[in-house]
Amino acid sequence: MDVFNDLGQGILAILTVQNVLLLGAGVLMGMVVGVMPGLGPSAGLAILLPITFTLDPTGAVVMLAAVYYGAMYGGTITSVLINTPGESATVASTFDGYPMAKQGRAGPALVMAAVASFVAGTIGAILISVAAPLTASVAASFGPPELFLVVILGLLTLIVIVGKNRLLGALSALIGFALATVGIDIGGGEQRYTFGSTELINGIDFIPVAIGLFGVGEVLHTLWRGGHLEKIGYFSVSARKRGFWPTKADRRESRGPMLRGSFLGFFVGTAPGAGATVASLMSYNLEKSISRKPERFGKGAMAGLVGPEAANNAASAGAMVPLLTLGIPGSASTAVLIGGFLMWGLQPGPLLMEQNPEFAWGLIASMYLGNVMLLLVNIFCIPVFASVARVPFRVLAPIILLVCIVGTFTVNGSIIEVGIMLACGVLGFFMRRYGFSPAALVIALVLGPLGEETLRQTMLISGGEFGIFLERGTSVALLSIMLVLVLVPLLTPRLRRFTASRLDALSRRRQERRDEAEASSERDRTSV
Amino acid sequence: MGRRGLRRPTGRTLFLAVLLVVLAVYTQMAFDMEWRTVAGRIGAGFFPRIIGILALAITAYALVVSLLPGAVDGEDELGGEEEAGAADLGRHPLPMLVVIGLAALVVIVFIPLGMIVASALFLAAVLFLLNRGRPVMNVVLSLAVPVAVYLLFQTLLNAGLPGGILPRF
Amino acid sequence: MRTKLITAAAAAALTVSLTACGAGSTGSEGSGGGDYPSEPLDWTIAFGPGGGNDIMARTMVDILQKEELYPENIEIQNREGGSGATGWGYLLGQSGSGYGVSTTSGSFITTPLQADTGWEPTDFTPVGLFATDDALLLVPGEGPIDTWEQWVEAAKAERLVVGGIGTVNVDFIVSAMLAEQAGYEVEYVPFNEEGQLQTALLSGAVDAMISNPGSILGQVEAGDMQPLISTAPERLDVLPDVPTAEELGFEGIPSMPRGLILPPDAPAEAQEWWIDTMKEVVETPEWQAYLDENYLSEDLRWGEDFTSYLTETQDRFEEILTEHGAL
Repeated sequence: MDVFNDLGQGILAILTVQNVLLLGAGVLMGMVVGVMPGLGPSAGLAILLPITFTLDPTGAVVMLAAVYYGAMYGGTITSVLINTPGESATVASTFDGYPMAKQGRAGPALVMAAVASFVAGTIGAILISVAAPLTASVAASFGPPELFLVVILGLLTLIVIVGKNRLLGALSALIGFALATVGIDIGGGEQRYTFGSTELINGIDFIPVAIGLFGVGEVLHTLWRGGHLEKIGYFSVSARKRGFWPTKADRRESRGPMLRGSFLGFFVGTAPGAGATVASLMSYNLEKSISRKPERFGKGAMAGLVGPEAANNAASAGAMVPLLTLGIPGSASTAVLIGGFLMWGLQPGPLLMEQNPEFAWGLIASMYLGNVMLLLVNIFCIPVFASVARVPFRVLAPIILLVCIVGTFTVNGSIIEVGIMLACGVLGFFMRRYGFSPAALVIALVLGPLGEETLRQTMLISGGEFGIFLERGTSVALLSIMLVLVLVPLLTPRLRRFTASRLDALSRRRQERRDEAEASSERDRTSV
Repeated sequence: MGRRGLRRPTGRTLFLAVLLVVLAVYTQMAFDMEWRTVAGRIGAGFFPRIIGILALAITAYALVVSLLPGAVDGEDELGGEEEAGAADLGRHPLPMLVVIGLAALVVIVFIPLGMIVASALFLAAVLFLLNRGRPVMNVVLSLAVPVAVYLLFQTLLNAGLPGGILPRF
Repeated sequence: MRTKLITAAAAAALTVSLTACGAGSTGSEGSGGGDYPSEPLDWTIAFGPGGGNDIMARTMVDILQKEELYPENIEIQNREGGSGATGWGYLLGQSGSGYGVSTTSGSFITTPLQADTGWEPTDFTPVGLFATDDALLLVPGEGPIDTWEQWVEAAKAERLVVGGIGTVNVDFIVSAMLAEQAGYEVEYVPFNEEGQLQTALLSGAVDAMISNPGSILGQVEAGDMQPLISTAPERLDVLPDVPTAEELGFEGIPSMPRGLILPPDAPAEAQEWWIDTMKEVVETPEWQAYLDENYLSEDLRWGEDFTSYLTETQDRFEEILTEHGAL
C-alpha cells in the first residue's frame, strides 16, 4: 500500500525532538485558547498563525495542526463543563455533555470525548490517505444547489433536537433565522436590519449569541434557581463519589457511535461551508434515532456526546481533502491555513500534493500526531479541568460571566458584541424557563444565511427553475439521503413499539442497579 | 415546573407579548424590502417576510394558549429531570437582576476603565453578593482572576484588550 | 491621546530590546528631515491574519525592520470587522497623528459605498499606491471555451452565469464592465467565500468566475481552470498567454488597489517621510519578490496621485453599481 507508506514516512519525517515539542506546546496553547469562551479553532489558528511565521513550513504546520486539535478539544471542555460551545460544530456536544457534567460525570465525559477525537482522527487520517482522490471528485461537485441540500440536511436534524416541544422549537429556529437576516444581503448588497451600524454589516456572529444563550443563560438560570445558596457545589453531590474514568458500560456504549460518527463526519466534512456543524448534528440525530434508549438523549447519554465529537473531529480531516487535493478551503480554519500556505511560499491548488508531497503528507501526519498528543496531554489535564466542577457555583458564576465577557470582546474587539452576548444571555434565560430551544436558535443562525445564500444562488443559476436539483448527480444523491432520513424516523416508532414493553422493564431495572449489574443487563438485551 | 415554589402567572405571557411586538416590528420592516428583484429573482425581503409571518403566527398562538385556564408558567417537565438531584431552593429573581445589571455596567465601563479594573470591580461586587462571609477569598479572587486573564489574553495572545486607566504591561 | 500613551507604554514594555536596537539608526537616509519618526508606530490591518491585506502589511513591516528604515518599534494589530469599517474607523480616530498607518484593499473603496462608515477614502492622508491585485475571468479547463472571443460569442448566444465574490465589490464591477463593453449580457451570481465560488465553477454550476491570480494559479497550472482575460496593465509573467483587457480594447476596468494611508490630517512631515521611505521599500528585492509571489502588478502613484486615483475609481464604481441597481 503506497499511501500508507507515504503516511508512515510523513509521520517519521516529522518525528524530531523540535517537532514533538512544538506539538506539545501547540496542543496546550490550543487548549488554553479553546477553553476561553468565544475562541474556537479558527480563532485559535488566526491568533497563533503569526507566531508560526518564524518557523520553517513543516514546523509551522505541525504546530498549527496541534493548535487546531487543542482548540477544538478546548471547545469540547467548555461545552461539557459550562454549557458553552466554542464554535457551531460543538453545539451538539452540549446536549448530552453538560447534563453528564451536572450528574458529576464530567471526568468520563471528557475522557470519552478525547478518545472519540482520537479514534475519529485516526480514521480520518487513514481515510485521507485512501479515499482522497475519490472524495475530492465528490467535493468538486458541490455547487450552490448541493450546498443548499446539505444545509437542509442540517436543518432536518432540528426535528430531533427540539424534542417534544415542536411548536416552541420551531419558534426558536425562526428567531434564529430572523437574527441571521441581519447584515448585508449577499444577493443584492442591500443592508437589512443594520440600523446604519457598521458593526452589524457582517451580520450577527454565532459566537456572542451562543455564549449568551448557552453559557450566560445557564448561569442566570442557576442563579434564579438559587444555585448560589447550595452548600456544596454546582453539580450534584452523589456524583463526585463516582469514578473519574469511564466505566465499562461507557466504553461499550461509545464504540458504535464513535465509528459511525467518524465515517459520517469525514464525508459530510468535505462539503465546503457547513461540513463540521452539519456532520455533528447528523451524528447526534443518527444516534438518537437508532438508539434503543432515545429518551436518555439530552439527559446525559454517552452516545449523544461521543458520536457528535467523533463526527466533528473527522469532519476536520474531511475538510483537508478539498484543501489538499483541490486547493479549496472548506472551512473557516482551512481558510486560515491557506493564508499560511501563501506565507510559506506554497501555492495551494490541485498540484500541491504532487509538487510538495512531503509537505502535504507532513500536514496529514501532523494532524494525526496532533490527535495522539492531545490524548497524551489530556490524560494529565482532564483531572485539572474536571475539578472546575468542584468549585461552588457562587464563586464559579462570576468567573464564568467574566470569562464570557472578555472572550466575546477578544474575538473582534467589539463592545457591541459583548452587549449582544449579554442580551442573548437574558433571552437564553427566558428561553430555558419557558421551554424554548436555544440549540435550535443557534443552529438556525449558523445555517440560515448559508441556506438563503445558496438557494438564491441556485435560483440565479437556474433562472428560477427548481428542476436544477434533479439535473445534477450529487444533488440527486443528496435528495435520496434526505428521503431515507425522513423515512427512518417514521418507521422506527413501529419497531420501537414492538420492543417497548421489554425495554421499559429493563430500563427500570437498570436504574436500580449499579454499574456491574448494568453491564450484565446490557448483555441480556443484546441477545434479545 | 408548576410543581412547587411561587409561580408568576404572567411571566410566560409577558415574554411572548414582548416577542410578539419585536417580531411585528421585524415583519413590518421586512415588508419595506423588496419581495422580488427587478429581474424577477428572490429579493432581500423574501425570507424576512416568510420568517416574520410564521414566527408571528406561532407566537400569537402560544400567547393565546398561555392565557387559557390550566396553562403552565415556567418550564415544563422537559428540563426537570436533569435537575432532579438538586434541592429546591426557591426562586431568586433579585440576585439574578443585580448580576445582569452589574454585567451591563461592565460593558459600559469596559473600555474607559480598562479590562482589569472593570473586571476586578465586577468580580468583587458579584462575589460579595453571592459568596458572603469570605471577604479575603473574594478580594484575592477579584484581583487575581482579572490579572491572570489579562496576562493570558493580552501578553500571550496579543488580543488587544483595553488597558484603560492602568498602564499596559 | 490616551490611545497613544497606551501604545507607547505597551511598546516600551513589550519590546524594550527592539526599541533600543532601532534607536541607533535614527536619521538614516530617506527620513524627511525634522524629528518625525520619534514614536512607536501603530499599524492597523483592517482584515484578519492570512488574507491578502495581512500578507502585504506584514511584508512591508518586515522590510521596514530589516532595512532599519523605521527607527522605533512597530506594533501590528489586526482590527477586522465590518469589511474594513472597523480597522479604518480606528485609523480615523487617530486623526492628526502621524503614527497610525494602514494598508488598503478593494473594500477601502466599496465599504463606504454600502454602509455609513463615517469616513471616505479621500478623508485619509495618502502615502501611495504600490500595486494592484488584478482580476481574471476564468472558465473550466476542459470546457468548449478556450479564448475570450469564444466566450463573447457563447455569451451572446445563450444565457451564461458568472460567479464572483460579493455584489458591491470589484468582481461584480469587472464582470459588468466587460459585458457592457463587449456587448453581451450575463447573469452575475454573488458568493461569500472563495472556496464555494471555486467549487461552483468546478462543479459546473456557474459558467465562469472572477478571481485573482494569487488564489487561482494552482488551479490554472493543473489545467482545471482556463483564464480568458486579465485586468492587469500588462500581461502577467506567469500567464503570458492571457490577454489583458486593455489589449482587447477595454477601457477603465478596475483592479484592487494595494496602497498605504495615514490618519486624516497627518502632519506634512510624516506624509513626506513615508513617501520617501516607501519609495525605498518598493525598490528592495524583498518587495519585488513579494509582488512576484503574489502575482501583483506594480502600479506606483504617490501622494495626491493616489487620492485622485481613489476618487476616480470610487466614482466609477458608484456609477456602475447605481446603474445595475446594487446601491
